[in-house]
Amino acid sequence: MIPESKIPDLWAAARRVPTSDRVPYAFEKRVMSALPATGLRAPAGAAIAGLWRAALLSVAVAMMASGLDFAVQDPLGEPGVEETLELAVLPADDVESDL
Amino acid sequence: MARRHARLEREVEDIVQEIFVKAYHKLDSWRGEAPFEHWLVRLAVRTCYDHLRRHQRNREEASGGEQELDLMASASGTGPEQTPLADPAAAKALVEAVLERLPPAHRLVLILMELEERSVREIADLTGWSVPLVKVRAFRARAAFRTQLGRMQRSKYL
Repeated sequence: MIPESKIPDLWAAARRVPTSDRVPYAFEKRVMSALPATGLRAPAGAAIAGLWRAALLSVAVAMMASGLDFAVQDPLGEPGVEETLELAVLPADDVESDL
Repeated sequence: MARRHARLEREVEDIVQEIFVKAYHKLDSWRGEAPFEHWLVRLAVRTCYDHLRRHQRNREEASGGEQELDLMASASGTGPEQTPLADPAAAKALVEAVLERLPPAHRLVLILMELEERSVREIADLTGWSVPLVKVRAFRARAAFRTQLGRMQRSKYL
């Protein structure tokens, strides 16, 4: 029987036994083989995924910008930036061709 | 560290593999404020604790049997030529057998406090528990250890 007062001695005795630090043969290969299985991507794969994300983001921004441009157009029929530019450039072109 | 939490070699290997894989994936969370070893030990302790919690049910079913009782006889020195607790290997095996029957939180706190001789603050840092919680769990874990040891002794000698 181990009396209650001897429990600290039991712990002390257990501490005297060093824990083994033996590493199984080729354990690092096992760990390395587990890395791709846990969803690790190759650097090239990560780069391609990044490009796809950037492309989708660009499309989304372009759509938002065109939608915003459409929404802020003057409802009274005032010419927009594009029309103003055309009105300024095309008559000048006509004048040049007349000369 | 993993060997203190699992007795079967394949369990130890699973834990160590999980620690390495987690360390690889969470490497960017190490900010260099504390030594790398501290970060890795904290990760290892939490992985071991998760492992204990996951396998608690299997452990409860697997524990028991004559082997532990024989260890107890050896550790307590029932033979005429033996002195109590004279055999460290048997004492360690007995401690492990008792720990195996405790809940994961009790087991973890006793391993860190009694076997690895870490302070309450260190344990709080490693586990993420608060200092009062570590103290409460250590108190309860010691009581549970005494109870479990007594139960095993009674089942041996009655």
